[in-house]
Amino acid sequence: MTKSEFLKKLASNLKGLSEAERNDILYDYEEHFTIGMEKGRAEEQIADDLGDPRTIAKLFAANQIVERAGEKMSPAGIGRAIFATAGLGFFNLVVVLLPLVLIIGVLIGLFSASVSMITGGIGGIFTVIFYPVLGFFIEPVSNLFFLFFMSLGTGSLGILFFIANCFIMIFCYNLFVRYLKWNIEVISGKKGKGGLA
Amino acid sequence: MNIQFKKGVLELCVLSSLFKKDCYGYELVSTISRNITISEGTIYPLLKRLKDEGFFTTYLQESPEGPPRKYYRLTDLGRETKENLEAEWRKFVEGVNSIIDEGGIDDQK
Repeated sequence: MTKSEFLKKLASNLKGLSEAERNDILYDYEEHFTIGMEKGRAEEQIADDLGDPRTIAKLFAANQIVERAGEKMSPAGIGRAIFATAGLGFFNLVVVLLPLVLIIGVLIGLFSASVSMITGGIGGIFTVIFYPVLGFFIEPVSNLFFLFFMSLGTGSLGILFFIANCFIMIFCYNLFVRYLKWNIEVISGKKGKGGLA
Repeated sequence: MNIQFKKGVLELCVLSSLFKKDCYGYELVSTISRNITISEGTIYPLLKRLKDEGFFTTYLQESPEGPPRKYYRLTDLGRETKENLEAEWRKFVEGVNSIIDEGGIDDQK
């Protein structure tokens, strides 16, 4: 590989990083080639000894992820972290995406149930209130009283359930972020800062 | 050599090399790759990470042979970490060696 081939390949694999960071990195490798050639080494030899630009780019990407893991994770941050983790291997993607999909599925189910209950409750109350007016559209109900309080109960439970789901969602979100960070630490082989790991 | 050994110890190697004197990237990379078999290109990501974590600063210095070179210099945090890592490493090597040596003694029975 020539110097320009190496740098081009490296640059294209660093697309996930900001332009400033990318240029910073490329500057270092440019300098490396320049000095190496000053010392009489062949361009191809230097590129060979540097290794595969894709592997190198992955390491820079991993740095980024680890850095982000130390910060507060916004949904966008999580998205980027997952995307970058995927670049590190298919297995990692599965290990990260599968729990995420399951959690989202469960949350959708819970929210659907709570919304259904609220809707049913509102529907029932609506029926009772407007029964005198809409009576001929709606099946006669033997006990309006019963229906009213049932609906009130269901609707109230639905609302409580919905609120609980919001807390569950926040809890799952934080849990998932911690899981993602743990995952990142395991991938990068890093147990803690400054250790021999 | 085991890749896990290399990964953990590379940080120590970089910090120790810079302890003696400030180096420019190429210099660091050749020193290390001369002594440990490693893809030279993988050292730069480590340098970047360590710099971002505050273990060293960089500065440009004019070079007689061409464009200015980027030099790395240890910070106080870098120096402190180097001492800690070195102590951990010596302890580790000592421990492993004693296991190996004691194992050797048992074999002779």
